[in-house]
Amino acid sequence: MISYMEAFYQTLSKGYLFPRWASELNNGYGSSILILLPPLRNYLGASIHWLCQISFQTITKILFFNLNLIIFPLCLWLFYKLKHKAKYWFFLLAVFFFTALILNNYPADYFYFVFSFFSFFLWLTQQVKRKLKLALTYLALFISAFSLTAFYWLPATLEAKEIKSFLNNIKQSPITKPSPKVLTALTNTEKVEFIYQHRPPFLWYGYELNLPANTRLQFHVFNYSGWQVFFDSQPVVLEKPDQENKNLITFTSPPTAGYHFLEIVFEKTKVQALADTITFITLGLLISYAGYVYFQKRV
Amino acid sequence: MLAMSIFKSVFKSTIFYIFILNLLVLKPLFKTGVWLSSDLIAHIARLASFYQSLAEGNLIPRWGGNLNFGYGHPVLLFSYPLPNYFGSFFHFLGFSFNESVKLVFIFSYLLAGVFTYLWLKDWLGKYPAILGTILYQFAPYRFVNIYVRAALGEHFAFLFIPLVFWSVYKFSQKIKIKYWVYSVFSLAALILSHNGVIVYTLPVLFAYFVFLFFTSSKSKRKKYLTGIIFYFFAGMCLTTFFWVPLLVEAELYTNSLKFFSGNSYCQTYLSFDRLVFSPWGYGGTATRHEPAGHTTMIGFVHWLVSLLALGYLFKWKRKINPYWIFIFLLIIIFFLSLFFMLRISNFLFPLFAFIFRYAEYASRLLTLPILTTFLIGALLTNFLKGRKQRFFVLFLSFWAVILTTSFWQTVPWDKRRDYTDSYWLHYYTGTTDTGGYNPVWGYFSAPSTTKVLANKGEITNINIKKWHSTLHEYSFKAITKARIVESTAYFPGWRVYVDGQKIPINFQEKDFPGTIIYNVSPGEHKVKTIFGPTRLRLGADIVSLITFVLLLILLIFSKKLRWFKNIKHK
Repeated sequence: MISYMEAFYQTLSKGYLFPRWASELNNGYGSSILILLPPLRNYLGASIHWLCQISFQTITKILFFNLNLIIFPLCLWLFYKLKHKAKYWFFLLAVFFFTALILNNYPADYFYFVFSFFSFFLWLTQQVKRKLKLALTYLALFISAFSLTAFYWLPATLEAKEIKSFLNNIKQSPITKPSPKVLTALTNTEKVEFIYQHRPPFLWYGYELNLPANTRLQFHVFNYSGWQVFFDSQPVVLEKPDQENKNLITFTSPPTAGYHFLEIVFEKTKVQALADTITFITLGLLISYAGYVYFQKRV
Repeated sequence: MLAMSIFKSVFKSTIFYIFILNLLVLKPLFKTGVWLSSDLIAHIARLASFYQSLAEGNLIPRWGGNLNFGYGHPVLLFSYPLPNYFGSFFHFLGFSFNESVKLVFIFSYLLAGVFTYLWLKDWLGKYPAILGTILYQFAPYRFVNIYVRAALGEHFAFLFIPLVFWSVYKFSQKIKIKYWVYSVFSLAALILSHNGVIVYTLPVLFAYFVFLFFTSSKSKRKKYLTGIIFYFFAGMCLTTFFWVPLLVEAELYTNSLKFFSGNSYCQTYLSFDRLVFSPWGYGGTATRHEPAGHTTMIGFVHWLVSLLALGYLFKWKRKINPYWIFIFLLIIIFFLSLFFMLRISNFLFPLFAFIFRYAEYASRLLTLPILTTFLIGALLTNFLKGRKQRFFVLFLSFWAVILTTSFWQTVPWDKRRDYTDSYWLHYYTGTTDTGGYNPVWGYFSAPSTTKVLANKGEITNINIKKWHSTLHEYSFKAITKARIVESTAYFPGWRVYVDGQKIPINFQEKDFPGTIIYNVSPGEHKVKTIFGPTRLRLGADIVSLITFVLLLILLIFSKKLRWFKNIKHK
């Protein structure tokens, strides 16, 4: 848990708002495990570390308890309050805590609290006269919370199979030494000239190369579908990760020899991009809704 | 007693606390030396060259005589002059060039805060002014401009933006000619501070004009509108000496067309995620895939006020008022600026290339979200009253400041000890330009061994009398018919007078591309090489001068002018 939190913080602090690649895990060969892990605890840990500069070990101890025990009753209380006072900030608070609950659990566990909430909603709706209005409020709350957390549960659900296969594959990779995170030529070894390696940023590696046509190259980071390789801004197809290429990013250079600018970059998959867009739009709409209600009353 | 009352009034005033807060931000600059950044070295060298030319009597310095390995460079002709005038003033007072540039950074930041607060207070009141000023001064991109890019011009222009808005506001309220003249001067100052920022300011300024038009009384509207039309005209006329050569000569005689082709803009689009959040850093601008080294985030609080304002716009039941229109226009500008920073806007680039190609980097558009959000923040505050208003301001201001505290820092300072005034004037060999304004006729990559030499023929007794930025005076004796090479980069405006006679210059010699070359007959010769104005520059100077004089006359005789007299003030 500590290493996950540390890896999460590292990726977050480099500007990745939704950390999905743990660069230093697996001896530096990286891992996509963060896509699967519920991020709430990691976000809290990262915030505490940033604010108080406490070690991740201590933070893990501070956050030892099950956050669900706090969030779940809070959600129920807010849903109950919504029955009596349909105030917008109750609604926003309910969305906030429902969101926290989603982000603190694996998608497989959602069934339990979704079922509980649904039963609770039904029970509450039965007690009021304006049933439709309350039902619609709960529906809006439900949709808002799930849309807001799409950045997590959508990739975690749709890419789960791929991540599990990735995790299985890398277990079999005979990687014992820390990754040097370098590019090596598997063919034409002596003819490849490394002209310049761009400054080492995060999840982006740039090389200026002079190399023969169709040279097989390998980058010492585990291959996951988020990794993409571009030669002179043109994407190239990566080899399927297997035992032969040790599950590392392996590819062949273009059929033209000479100077090339190579970029190896971790980008969002289509699912992740869609999920993030849903999250951003929902967040924007919720804040706008707050503005709508807040200023509607006072202007 | 008087001192005590002054002390009390100072400590009671909000502006004092804003000033102190802004001073805290600048703490890293209060050290000797220079900090490592993208452009600081270039700005100091440019200031040194500017000052030298100014001290030699050139009221409008246009030729950096010591730059470009001593061959000279026209960078001063095309770069915004006002920050350099201010820097020259500080140097004149006795500060080194390094310290003078730092003082320009410091004073412009502090005064920007003061003017923003005063304008917003005058227009909307105390609390909107506080939030507006905080959002204006504490936008992450402002710190990028200071500590990462050291973008002197862009940073300096932020000083005049509130002045432009304030003077226009005063004019719309009073319709007095003195306010009109002030607004023209502040617009001119903005144009002379940075040619890019004025372009980004225009849409926001236009929205403000629309707002002021609808909020001013009907009796004043016609005169307000006429004043605004002439305001632009006068502002442009006052600054022709700067922008006319920039638009015409830069395209004709330098590599600017090739350099500002728009490629760099298209290579530096940002990702939406990074507009929401990106950490503080000191790297360069984003490339095709590589995220920018410096932060490109708009600011959490800036995002928040924009989205709250978006909600405010959905008020169907109420009548649409000028405030609604203004916020609507600001929101449109805000989202359009975001759109044009993203790759998805690339299909529209050819349509707007004439604007964006000069921006060079997409991240430069980050100025626009600042200009829109600080106004939105102030306007939203204005809609609230009492405790709620105070809470809104306190809450947002607190977070706007706190969330940027990690941005108030420089990288370790440059330890080089040879950054003295003498270094900038005599040993600096660069051009301070990234290549865009290099004359098309040739590049120089090494200093010349002599100032004057004979390419063909023989000369002796070379005696250099003066080697100023724009005047080179020397004599020599030509033993035979000679072809003289003077170590000066040619640019339109250079003229050579041999024994008082103007002679033709060749500047396209194969062995000395871009260098001034001329022929002389045998005998003793006195030579004067002068960098003077071209017809275009002279015309532009005259227009600026006439406009300046007319504006002064207007200011002096404003009370006697009839045009403004029939306005009834409430």
